Amino acid sequence: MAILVGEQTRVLCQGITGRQGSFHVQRAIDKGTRVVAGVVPGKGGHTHLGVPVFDSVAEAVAATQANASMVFVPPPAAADAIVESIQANMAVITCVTERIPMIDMVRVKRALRHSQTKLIGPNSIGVFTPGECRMGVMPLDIATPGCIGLMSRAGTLSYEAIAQTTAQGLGQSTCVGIGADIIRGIDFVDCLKLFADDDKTRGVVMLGEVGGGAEEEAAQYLKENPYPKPVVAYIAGQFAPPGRRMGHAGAIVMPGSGTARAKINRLMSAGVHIADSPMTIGSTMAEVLI
Amino acid sequence: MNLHEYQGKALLRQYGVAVPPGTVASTVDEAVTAAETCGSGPWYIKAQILAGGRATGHFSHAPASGGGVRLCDTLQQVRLHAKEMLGQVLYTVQTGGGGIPVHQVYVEKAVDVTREVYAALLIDRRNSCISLVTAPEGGSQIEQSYHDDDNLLCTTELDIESGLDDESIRSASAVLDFSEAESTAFAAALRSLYQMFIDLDCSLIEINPLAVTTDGEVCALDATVKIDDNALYRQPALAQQRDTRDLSAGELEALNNRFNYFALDGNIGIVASGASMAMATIDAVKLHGGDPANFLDIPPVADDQQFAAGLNLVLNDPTVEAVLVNVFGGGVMRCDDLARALLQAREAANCRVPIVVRLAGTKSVQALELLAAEAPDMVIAADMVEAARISVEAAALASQREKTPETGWWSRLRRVASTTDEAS
Repeated sequence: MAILVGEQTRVLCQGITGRQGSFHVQRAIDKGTRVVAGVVPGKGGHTHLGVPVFDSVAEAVAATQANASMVFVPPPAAADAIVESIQANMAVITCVTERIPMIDMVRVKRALRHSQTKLIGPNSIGVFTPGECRMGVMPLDIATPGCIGLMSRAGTLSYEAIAQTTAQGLGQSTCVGIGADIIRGIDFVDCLKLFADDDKTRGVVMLGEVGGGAEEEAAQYLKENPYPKPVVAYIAGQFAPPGRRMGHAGAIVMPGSGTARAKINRLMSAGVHIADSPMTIGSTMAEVLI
Repeated sequence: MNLHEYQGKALLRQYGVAVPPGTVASTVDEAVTAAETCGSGPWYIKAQILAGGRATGHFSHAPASGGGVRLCDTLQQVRLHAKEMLGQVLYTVQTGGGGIPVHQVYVEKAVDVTREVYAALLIDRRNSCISLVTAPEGGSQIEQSYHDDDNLLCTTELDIESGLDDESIRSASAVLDFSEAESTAFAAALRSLYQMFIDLDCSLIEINPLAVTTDGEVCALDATVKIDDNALYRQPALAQQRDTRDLSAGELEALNNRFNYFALDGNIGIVASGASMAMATIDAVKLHGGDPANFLDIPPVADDQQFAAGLNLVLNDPTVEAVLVNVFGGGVMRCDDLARALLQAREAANCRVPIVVRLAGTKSVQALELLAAEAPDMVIAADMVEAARISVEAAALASQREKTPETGWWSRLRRVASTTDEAS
């Protein structure tokens, strides 16, 4: 079954004619992802990479029944692109774009409030169900269909975990890059809930990093809810130097969030298996699954 | 991007928020002139650094003379304190161990106040909204106060669609116990702050304290303003206000080329792509007893120029005694492109230190073949932990070599790497 995306997903790409969009859409098509439409305002009526291009998401959906959108749009227009896909009731949106202004993302989160859409990102490597559907930029050749659910705040470090679980013969059910930005769509807890109910997933790998509170929230969730599958985590940034601070408001609104050590302790007390080294993520999972 | 107090207060004035008369000064004479311009004393003189906790901080050369915020009754005192601050290093709880040099002071008329409260607007990452934080007492102990008594602080989540409406202002004001006249003035100040927050793409405006003067005016006595770096492309006037004086040459180069770099204390240069990958690489080096010389994250979508700039920073760093390159190719990032850039950058930098390379992912086989042919002295590691172990060993051997001019150090290193050294 896998989560979020699969064979049934009909993908459209916003920004399909750009450098990144073209590159990744071509590879997704080559490996069997059903890319049914592109959207680029002003380029409706053209065909790009064999895919029909439309001026708006609404037109693309009407013509192709697309149900998921991947956004490859530069920062100034990215938030509007995401909102357009939310309004078109896309089931899943992935956004690769980095450096979207924070206030724009606050508006995006407001638009998500009463919708059924699951947003992955921004600043995300996307979502990938090997053998079925890839939205985003994850390398295709290191993944293989299998039983590990991956959820990650990291970018390229995720590829280590994918390659290692492939090398262990486990493979992946679905890999989700939740993105590295402060304000983002789905979080670790959302992924944990989806993986819990997914028949194909036997274990979950979490890649976290210093800063933010997503790992702590996941630990809290796992502590309060018996989880049916083993979770293995690696947290990057154990030796990250503390940054200079300005003001108190961040610490008031979000107290106690921060160090890799604190995250690791919270996760361990919630029963999560910690990989001490980035090279033992796959082997740790293989051991706990025996 | 952090703004200095004087920059923040200039913006507050533009948005109609009352601030005491004040001027920034770079020299002792300018500070005295600034005080005269503000009107009669007393005055506050305040060190302009991009960190908080100034009042309770100290200067290394005169730890007993006071912190970075001082009250002056006479112009002679302004002169004395300006002299004690300018050009000196201020240490506060927020500066980190190195402190920050004071290049400018802000001289401001001291106003008589009846109340000091706390007010801040910020991007609230937990709730994905703008939140307004208010508290009935300001001051630098605000975080501790919060932990001791939650009722002291009020966090009001704002809806970006309706903005700062009357209901939000009422709820934020409830903890402050203002008179009706004070409430009206406070509400007006909040509306101005919110407009500024939205217009200027702020991620934080903190007024600590926001004071009620004896004249009944609501007045900002301090201002901590942060602008969202992601939005600077549409805030060109603010982007020009960035103070880069405390950045190293490397950090400035990274800022101009849009990648992440900062110097660390060690001797192992780190080249990685992806922030988490760079952090994991640093963790691996530290766990093997080594000390990274830098954090460098070249974005996976970097162009040739960004790559060259990043590699140059590490390869030209005189403190670097070994370099660790750890890249997992994927997407538009190809390992063979990186290998070519690495060869060029090393040639240009005339860099002689050992380089340990770990490449995986897209075009890594081609890249390793290229490096084996063109640079057989580079050590190829099988994975990032192996690379970390070898680079720690290489840096240690390079340090030893300086003490004992023994020629066999390189072959010893090769033996260390022999299990995985595909380049030999």
